[in-house]
Amino acid sequence: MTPLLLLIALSQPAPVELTVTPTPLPHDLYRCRLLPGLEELRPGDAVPLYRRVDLGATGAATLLPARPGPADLAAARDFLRRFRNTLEAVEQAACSRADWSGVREQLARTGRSGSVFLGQDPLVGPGLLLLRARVELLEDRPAEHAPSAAVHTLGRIFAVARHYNAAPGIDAHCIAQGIAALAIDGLEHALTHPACPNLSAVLAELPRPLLPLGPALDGDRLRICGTLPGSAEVRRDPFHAQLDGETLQRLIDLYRLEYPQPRRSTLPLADRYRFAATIRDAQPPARQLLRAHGYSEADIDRMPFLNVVLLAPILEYEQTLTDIATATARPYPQARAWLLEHGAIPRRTREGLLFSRLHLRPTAFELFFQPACLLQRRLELLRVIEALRLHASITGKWPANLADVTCAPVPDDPLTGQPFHYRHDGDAILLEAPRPTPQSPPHHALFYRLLLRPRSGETP
Amino acid sequence: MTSLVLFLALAQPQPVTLTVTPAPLSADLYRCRLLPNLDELRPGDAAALLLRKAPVIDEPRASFPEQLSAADLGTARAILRQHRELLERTEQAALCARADWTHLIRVVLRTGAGRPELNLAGANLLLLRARVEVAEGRPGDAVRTLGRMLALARHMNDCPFVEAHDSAVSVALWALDGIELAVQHRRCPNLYTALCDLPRPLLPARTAHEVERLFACAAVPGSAEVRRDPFVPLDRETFQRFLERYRAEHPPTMRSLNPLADHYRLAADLQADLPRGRQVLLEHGYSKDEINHLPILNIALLAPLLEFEERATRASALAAFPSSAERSRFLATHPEPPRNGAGLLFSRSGRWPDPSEFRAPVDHCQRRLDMLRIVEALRMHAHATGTWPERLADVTAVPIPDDPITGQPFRYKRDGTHAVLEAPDDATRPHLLTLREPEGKP
Repeated sequence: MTPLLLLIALSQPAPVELTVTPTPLPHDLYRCRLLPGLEELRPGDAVPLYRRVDLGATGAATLLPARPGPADLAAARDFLRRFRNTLEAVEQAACSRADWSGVREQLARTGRSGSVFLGQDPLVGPGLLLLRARVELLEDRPAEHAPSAAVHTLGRIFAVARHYNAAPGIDAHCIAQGIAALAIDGLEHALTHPACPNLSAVLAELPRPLLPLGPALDGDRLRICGTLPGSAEVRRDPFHAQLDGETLQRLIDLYRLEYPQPRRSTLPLADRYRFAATIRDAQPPARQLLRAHGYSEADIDRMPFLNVVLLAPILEYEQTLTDIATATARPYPQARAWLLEHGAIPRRTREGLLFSRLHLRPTAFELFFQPACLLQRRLELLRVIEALRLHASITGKWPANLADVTCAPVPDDPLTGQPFHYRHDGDAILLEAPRPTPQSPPHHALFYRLLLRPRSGETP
Repeated sequence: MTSLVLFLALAQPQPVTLTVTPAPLSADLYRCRLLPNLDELRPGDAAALLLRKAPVIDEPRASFPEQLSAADLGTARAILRQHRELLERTEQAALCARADWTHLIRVVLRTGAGRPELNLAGANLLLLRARVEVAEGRPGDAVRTLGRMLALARHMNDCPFVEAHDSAVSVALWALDGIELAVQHRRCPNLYTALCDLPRPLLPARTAHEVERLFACAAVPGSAEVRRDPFVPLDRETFQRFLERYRAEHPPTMRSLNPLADHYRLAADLQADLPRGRQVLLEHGYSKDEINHLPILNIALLAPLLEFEERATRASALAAFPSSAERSRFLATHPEPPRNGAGLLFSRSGRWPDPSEFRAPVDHCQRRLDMLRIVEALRMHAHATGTWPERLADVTAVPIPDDPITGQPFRYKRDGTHAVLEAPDDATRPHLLTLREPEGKP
């Protein structure tokens, strides 16, 4: 083996080996769908239910080993029984609608979203659901019911992930990613069950992207309004908004924090004088920015001085978020190129703009965009596997190449915009999603080796 | 008249004529968004507001010309003043964070009550307000109002009845009419980013056909119970309700004095339907042994339900193909299975809708949204270069979407200051675009 081949062999991730059964589309989509059906929806709000999770159930997702024995199964069942209330609450929450208006209000008031999840572990409930799905796969039920029940349970995890993703702020988006990854792990496992129904149609039914970045961006904008006192009022009506005494004091406190003086004056109004001088100095760059955003000179003259200074960084911030929203709506290669090119710009200090140094820095969304795309890629790969299983159920063998699959849509790799790599390896096939760029770490490549299990009644 | 315009004037269907001003990409999505910003959302339930009674108001859409004259403007303002309360309530519904229809579903399924009617008067008034705002030279406000309409359409679409889905599509199409009007205003900001920001599809069709199944189950007493466990016979009360339904759908030709006449008639019908029912169940994976254990009535109830579910599953699978070419290829290789249950007891009255029929209006709505996105991309290109591009591929600053129905690129032609944007299958009105000089230029 040449050194180059050796290097390549070593840098390849180990393939995930799945033995799957050729399976046609189910007659009935409603029995194994991945988001709750209408008849399962319940009135009420999911958010209080998520707060009722018992933290003692932490670690449920990893309780079962890869090859569990009867004792492991019994322990898992016992664990599920012990945390039955938590499991029921999470399942009920998954079938309800999540109203995050409390989080929104808190974010808009204080600028902090992380504290909303303090004292909670949002992964506990989905972990329990994953454990239950794995137990369902191992249970001695009628063969055709076991994987349907497991898929049903995994669907609840997707619902929980979507709930968290709808909450404003990047924290919730990250939590949602972690939860959805659990569900995808569970699906990979379920697919290897001999009686797993074909999930091609139900996977196609999931919203794409499963976890959009939009709520996180919106949450970031709210966070800023909460961080900078008075900015929401000024944003709403920059011509007439007048800050009350309390808001003004909070603004001055923030100013003191961001622009500390080496020596504190004993004069009670010293900070106010300094703040007033700063507002005066910040006028020219702020006016220039407002002009660039379409405000006429006359409009700016109508605004109070303080409003001009407060509005400018908010507009600048919103432009950054707009740019990120526009960029992330593009296909991944273009979006990545844009984010790489402009990644540093949003966090630069705007010379002369008040409060832009520390408190008005947008979240580094480019760091979170890629994991969301990788998650979507795993889902698309599962769709390809299901399309291959469907093809094999019709023709009795793997297709020569992916283009030969006509019975179900075969999605392209969302990260490259190209079809996934597909090749035969004896009786097996290799399905590969390569690293999106040469610089990407090896774990960004996904690699499956699929083996076809003979259908019942067929000789291997 | 240029040859292109003449050609379009003669061609069918009538084109949508848009005269637009070049505009750069909007710097601020949050000022001209087509769905409410997070800080605008209010707690509360939109469903409760949308279910309140409201008068039927048709004038706003029906009686005003496309361009409002001064007199029309006065009349329109008077209508808005007259119905201010309804307008505020509708806007409040649009700004609600959620629409919870679960209570309604339960009531309808439990009692078999009639389907709710969502009054479109509020949406109608919002469209009128947007038109007034455009006429008053406030296109930004008009875009915000039209965004409220799209939010309203999404809330309505969450209501799981096919009528609500139809209403949602109508409201969304009205909003698109309004956006087409607004983008023609000289000072209308570029809406490309706002259009990209909308969820895709704007109005998922899934809920509609899913609830039709539920509704059908509710309409025939016992269906839901049989679907849950086909081996358990119906209880007396459910059977009585089922019999009433049977009587309504299969009225006797002659009135009998025998109190059990309907029972005999039902038994005879069930016996006649049994072979087809068994055949359907066999095709859906039930073994002969299992079928022999099923009560005959349960077979009659289960078979049409299974057939509907199979068609709905097939419609969902078909909908997953991104282009009509792939869908045609799938249909050629996988012809629709024959409907053995076509003559079954409760499939005669045609109460099982075709699931694929829900998709067409949604696709059409999505296509118009994508055409608008291209119009905005073209405005952006015109702002940068001063003219329309020769080909759509020349627009490189932002992605140009393909047609969501056929999966092919939209057709585009340019002739001087005119350009034409057409759907690949000619099923949607083409857009005739005329470029207007930006303000301040001679």
